[in-house]
Amino acid sequence: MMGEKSVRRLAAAGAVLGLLLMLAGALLIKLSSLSALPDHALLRGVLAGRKVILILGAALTGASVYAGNIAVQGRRRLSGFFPYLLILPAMIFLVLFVLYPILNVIYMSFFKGSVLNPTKSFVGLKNYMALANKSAFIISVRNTFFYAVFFVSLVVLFALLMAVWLFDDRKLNKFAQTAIFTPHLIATVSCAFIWRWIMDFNDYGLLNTVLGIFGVAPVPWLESSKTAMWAIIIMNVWKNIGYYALILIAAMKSIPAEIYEAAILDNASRTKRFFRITLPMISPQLFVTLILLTIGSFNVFDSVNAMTQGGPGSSTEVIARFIYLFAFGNANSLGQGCAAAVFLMSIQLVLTAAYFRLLARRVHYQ
Amino acid sequence: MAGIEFRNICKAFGLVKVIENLNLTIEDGKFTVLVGPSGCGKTTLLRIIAGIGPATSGECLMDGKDITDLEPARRGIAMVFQNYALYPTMNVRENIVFGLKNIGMPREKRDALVREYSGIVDLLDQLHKSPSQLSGGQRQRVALARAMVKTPKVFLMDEPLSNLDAKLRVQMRGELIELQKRLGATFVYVTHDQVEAMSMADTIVLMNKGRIQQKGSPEEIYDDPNNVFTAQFIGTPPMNLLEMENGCRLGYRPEAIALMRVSPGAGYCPAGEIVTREMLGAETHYKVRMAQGDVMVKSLDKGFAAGERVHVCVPLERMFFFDAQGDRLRPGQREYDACRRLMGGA
Amino acid sequence: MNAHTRRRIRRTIRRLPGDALKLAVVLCFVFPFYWMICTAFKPYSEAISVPVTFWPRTFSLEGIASILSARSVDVMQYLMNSVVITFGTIALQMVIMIPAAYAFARFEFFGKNICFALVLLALMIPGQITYITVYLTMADRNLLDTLWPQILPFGANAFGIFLLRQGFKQIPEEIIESAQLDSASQVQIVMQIMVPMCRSVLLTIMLFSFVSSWNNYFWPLVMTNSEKVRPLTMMLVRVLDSELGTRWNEIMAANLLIVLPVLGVYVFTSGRIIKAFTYNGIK
Repeated sequence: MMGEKSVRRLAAAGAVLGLLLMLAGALLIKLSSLSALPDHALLRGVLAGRKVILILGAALTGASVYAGNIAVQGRRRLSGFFPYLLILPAMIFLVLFVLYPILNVIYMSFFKGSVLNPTKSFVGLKNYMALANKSAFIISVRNTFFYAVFFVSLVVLFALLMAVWLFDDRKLNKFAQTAIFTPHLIATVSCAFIWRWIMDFNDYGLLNTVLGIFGVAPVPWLESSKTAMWAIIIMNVWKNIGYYALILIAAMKSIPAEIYEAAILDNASRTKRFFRITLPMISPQLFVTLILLTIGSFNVFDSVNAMTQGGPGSSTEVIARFIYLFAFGNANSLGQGCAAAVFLMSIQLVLTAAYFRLLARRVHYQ
Repeated sequence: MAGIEFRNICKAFGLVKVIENLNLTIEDGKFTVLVGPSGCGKTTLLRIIAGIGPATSGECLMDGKDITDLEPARRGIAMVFQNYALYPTMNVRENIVFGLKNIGMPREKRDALVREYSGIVDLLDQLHKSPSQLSGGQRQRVALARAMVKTPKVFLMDEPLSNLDAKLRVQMRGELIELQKRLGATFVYVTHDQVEAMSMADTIVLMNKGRIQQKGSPEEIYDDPNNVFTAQFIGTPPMNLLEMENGCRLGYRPEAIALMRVSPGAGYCPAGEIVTREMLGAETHYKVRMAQGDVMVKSLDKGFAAGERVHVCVPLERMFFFDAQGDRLRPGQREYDACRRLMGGA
Repeated sequence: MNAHTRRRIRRTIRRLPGDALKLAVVLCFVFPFYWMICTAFKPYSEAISVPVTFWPRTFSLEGIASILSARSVDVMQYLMNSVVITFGTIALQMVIMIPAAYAFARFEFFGKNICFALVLLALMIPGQITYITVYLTMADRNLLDTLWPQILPFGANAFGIFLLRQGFKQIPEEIIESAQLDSASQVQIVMQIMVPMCRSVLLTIMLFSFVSSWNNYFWPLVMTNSEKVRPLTMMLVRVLDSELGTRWNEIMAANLLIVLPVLGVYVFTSGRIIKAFTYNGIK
């Protein structure tokens, strides 16, 4: 009949279309439960058929998957539809707890609502515009960017340094590797409290006492708006260096020793060997590390909540805290909280795309 | 062009002594092959010359100068690794030029050298490619070009042909020999393959368990082995070895045997029965079972069949005698005469 | 060898400044923990005394006793919650993860790549965004008073599926084929052959899962309204709030309770992981 490839393409198109229809149907079902709806003839018609659209979409998706699967399996129809059964639980959980929540948050960001009534009234883009004018939000965005830039650069820099420094197979290095990895195992809140105690501005604060031994004046750390964010950055950098250093060391261990030997014979200095061999050859892992660190840094919450609660003033308010305070805060601000969440997601998406655009060329896959 | 000398070299990995008190001179301008079974220390020795695996004690001299503590890059050597060790993130041209850049060679000189040597190995049109896009043979030639472009005094090669398919290996063997003649440099070549050693070397250094078993030209090694190990390592099938009385051991090569259906009466011609016959085309290998033991025969006569009774005849001048420790007994030595007499009326 | 030992001595001396610096850096990393333990065993008066003491002048179990006495915080309740949540999550993840990884590793089916992409996407989506909807869903079903909101959402362990799929992929085809020839059912193949062969990967995944679950703070914070379903990480904040003036020695004692189990599990499993590694290597 048709070639396998064309059946697959058709099935893929059908599945996408079916999923879109299902999405549309689901959206319409949600809309139909809203109290205030504009009275439009076309809208009423579409809404009436919402369940039909949903079922149609599901059927289309089902049929496409069925046809597509038969095409993919070809003559060896050993497994049939068994694999779908295997991934079903995982897919259900992922859709339920990841995909649906994201779509739902985007949906709710266009409404004004609260916990009891998330979609009280439709406000379109008003939430987003309100955010743009809200100083609390703008400050949190600025602080988060500040944190992200320094957190990521410091972790990458020190993790690389540590990886190179602790690379050789010596007992001292193995011990050091374990030592710097340990903070990763400890809950961020625990670390936060420990450092809060260490950075205490009273005379019994350890950090200032130690600095005093070196003749440095006591630093206000968490008490001053100028230094509070730096305190949080320091704590998080300390917590994360070990983990990423170990990842980089593992990457470096996969480089054959012969290549370094050839480079030594080629008169390459240690710095030359690092920049022209080590770095390019671990660039895939470095790239992934960079992305994970960046995305993670924008989610910073635990340390802020435990160490400063956003203070002093609002010098350490971050986006995640804004969402936390506004989503289930008192005054009907769920919509704004959701809008802030969508904004957070978009930043992470844009940055990831930017990384791919700018750096993918310099990553050497082997 | 430089000669290499090892004085009392010892190498230990942790508590394991791999080489003990080794002395060796490698002649300048010659193709020297270090050959032996795995673990015999040949690669270790090569790396001592290179400086990337320094000896535990002892001296290494090049051209009379002590290079034992000299940095690898300043020794005037180049090395071709078994797996080529090409820089995966650089293209062919960058691979070749890397060493030249590091010593600050001006651009025109670099480009001229790259052109010249990539021409010699026929890589001129591959310069922009990355190593992952090349075949095994091409990668090997990049490694060669990278070595040659440094115009070193000594070329070190660590089993460079072992990862190539058989046909390519034979072709590259010839090319490497030609290359050495053309460049006139000292080649130190490590292999476990005795055929490579025999075909390529000016001088063979046969090693086993960290000791030198024999050093000499291929003819010397083949026709005049110093011990049982050398006699049996070189040559396929290996030399036949039979135990006699008094701890003497008699050896003769498979091609030295003439198979006869009827004993000629005089000379060494013990009887036996053909157990297996392998007809290989130009020659036929027979395994003959005699009272004294089994021997392999390499014959141009394919007329014998398995199960036939034959006589294994070997002329005296093609016999080798070894003592109980495995050392060779030569004419003039007392033990030689003692063993020779055991041959009876031969 | 005299020259040999001479060279070794020279090498050790050359390395001395670098090694000393290394130890200093290690000290900086580890010292906060030491300080935590040190403070936990000091009496409150000494903890806030000046000058600072680097070793408890009076060794005291005051902090620990105060925590355990359930004056203002019911430690056992928090501990139980942490344990149930963590082990429940790991169990659920195993049930979901193993079949999924098996499917992605050894089957071909329509839409496989899309579904796997969804798994990878889940890896990158943070709880700070998804919690809003999940909270509303849980609230609708009256589950907020239970431990379910802290277990269910983590059922699909994307990181685990990814790693386990890799582990399954590395099993040679022949082993599975010979099992099929021996009329083994799918379940038997997975549970009795593939899973045991991936012991070290599974242990690694469980370790990360344990750490992630035990140390979770944000999620319990937003998902729970009552103290009786909150885990240990939330206890810290309560200790802080409960007294007049911050009793740091009690806080550090509470920290001990949170930190030590994780360190214990880590020490326990990393040894096993290495053993499992070597076991696989021999075959």
